Amino acid sequence: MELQFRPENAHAVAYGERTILVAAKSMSLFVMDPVSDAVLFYAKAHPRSTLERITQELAGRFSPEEVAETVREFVKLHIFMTEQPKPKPILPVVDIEHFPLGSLVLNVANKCNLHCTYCYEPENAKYGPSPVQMDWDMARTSVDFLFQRAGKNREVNLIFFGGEALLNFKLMREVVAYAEEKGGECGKKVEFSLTTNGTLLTDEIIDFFQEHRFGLTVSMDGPKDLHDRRRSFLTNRGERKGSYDLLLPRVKRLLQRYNARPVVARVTVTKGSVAIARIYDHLSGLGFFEVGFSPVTAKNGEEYGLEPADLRQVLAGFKELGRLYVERALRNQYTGFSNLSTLLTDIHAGTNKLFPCGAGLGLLDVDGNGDVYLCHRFPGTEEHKYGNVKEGLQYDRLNEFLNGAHVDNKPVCQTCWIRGICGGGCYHEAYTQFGDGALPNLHYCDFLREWTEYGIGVYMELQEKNPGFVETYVLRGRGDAPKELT
Amino acid sequence: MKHLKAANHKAEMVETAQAAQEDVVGMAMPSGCTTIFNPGWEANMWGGTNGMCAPMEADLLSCANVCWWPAQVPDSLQSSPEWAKACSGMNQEDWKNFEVVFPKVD
Repeated sequence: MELQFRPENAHAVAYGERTILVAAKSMSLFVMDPVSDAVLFYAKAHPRSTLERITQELAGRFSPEEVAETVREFVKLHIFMTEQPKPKPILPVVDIEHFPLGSLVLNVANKCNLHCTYCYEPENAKYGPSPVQMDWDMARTSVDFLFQRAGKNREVNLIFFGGEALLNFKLMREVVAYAEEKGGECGKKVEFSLTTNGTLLTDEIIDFFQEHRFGLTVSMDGPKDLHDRRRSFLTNRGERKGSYDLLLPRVKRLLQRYNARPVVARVTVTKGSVAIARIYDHLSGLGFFEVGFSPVTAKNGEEYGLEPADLRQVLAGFKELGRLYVERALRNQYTGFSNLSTLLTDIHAGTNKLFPCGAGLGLLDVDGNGDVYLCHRFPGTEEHKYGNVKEGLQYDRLNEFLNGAHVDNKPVCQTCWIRGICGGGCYHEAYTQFGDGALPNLHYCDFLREWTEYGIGVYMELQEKNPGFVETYVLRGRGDAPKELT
Repeated sequence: MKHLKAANHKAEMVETAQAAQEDVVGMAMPSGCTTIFNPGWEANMWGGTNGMCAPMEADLLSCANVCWWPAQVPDSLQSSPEWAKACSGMNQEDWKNFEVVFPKVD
């Protein structure tokens, strides 16, 4: 039997004395025994072989039956191919016209009271052509658009975004009332969420969130020195003033008064602000349930951008915090480190994505003009505008983009063992870096592969020393975990 | 699997799916019933129906392959060993001489 080794489908991760096999075609993990270890080792050095040759080569150590069994198992996992794979059809893989919409982001305000230096919106004060505030007519049309396109989804999500969405709180109230009424009529549950900089929170607003069970994310970068470095107000005289002192009492009030759902902090990691464990300590100390870290998107040469050396530091920080996560997990305590929890969820489920995220598929963004964009990061980007809530969606263009962005159409990703978890990465990041959203984010590959390997080690350790922890503490209630696992 | 021990949820799913697949593969025949020694159709050599094509429940599996409608063929070992005697060979005309065999009723 001719055997061709497919390295992209087999990745070995050392775990203590043992080796974990990642069968990347299905993202399934296996603990290897000495036979499979030896067969994989041989295959790596001899990509083209036959069963007879491998049997002969390993004859002193393993019986022909053992080798044959292992080879059969490898064939099943597509680690060996016995014949040339059939060429895959490239286009089309998805038809968006028949894909139900689950989430709609509303850019209710196209302005922000902060002037963070790293903001991905093109201009700091006002972003692109759309009006400063979305009006009621456009908001209502957008909600109708979501319900029309929701298909058989029993639950839909409205996400309020800006600028700073709370600059248009009045509209948010109206939208929530209308959407709840509409949801009642169609028998669909409506969930609301909001990302905010937190500086405009009041008790009235907090109570409103409580009443409608908002999912809340507050952008906050850590302790005062780190937060104020780049999250600042711009005064009339053109001076920058940190926002921490104004934000802190409001965040404390929120975390004390709001208990409908866990509140999450979102940290933008920038150059010089990579003290991950310190940031986590501070934010979890304030009472945030989870803290998620996002490395900043920066064009080459931006002062806040992360260079490879900075990314190494971020990774070291992630691992440091990961140690704490494990220690506490062994005592049945949960650590709200979003990045690791998400990764553990993916590793447990064996996530195998065809697209990096749901943008354009189950999620779309609407700005104040009613223009529809791929996601909340793209408003104002003509290239990724796909119609208007009043005139309809441009299916052909959206299909063309998504089919191009499908992981099977990213040749570099096809050789990578984490393609099922990563899918090539953020469209907006790729658009900023390379001018094309459908390209893979090659500048993060090493980071993500090392982080995934680390996550596999953590997963194995938890499964071994505290079985059930991942299922009970990590998966339960996570929106990103497959429904059957939560 | 024997040499790889499932370590995450997906691996368990893969194993379950493959175990289910092998059940079906086990029924595959090289190229029809004629290449396998089959000790009769309606009854096996002990007079029972275990493992035979003829019981309807076995038909369902056998018929998935190239071997089909075994129930039309007489039990050539137990009950009607002579049923094909009139045929000298298997040329195109011979088949018409096959005897029609009815169950004996006491």
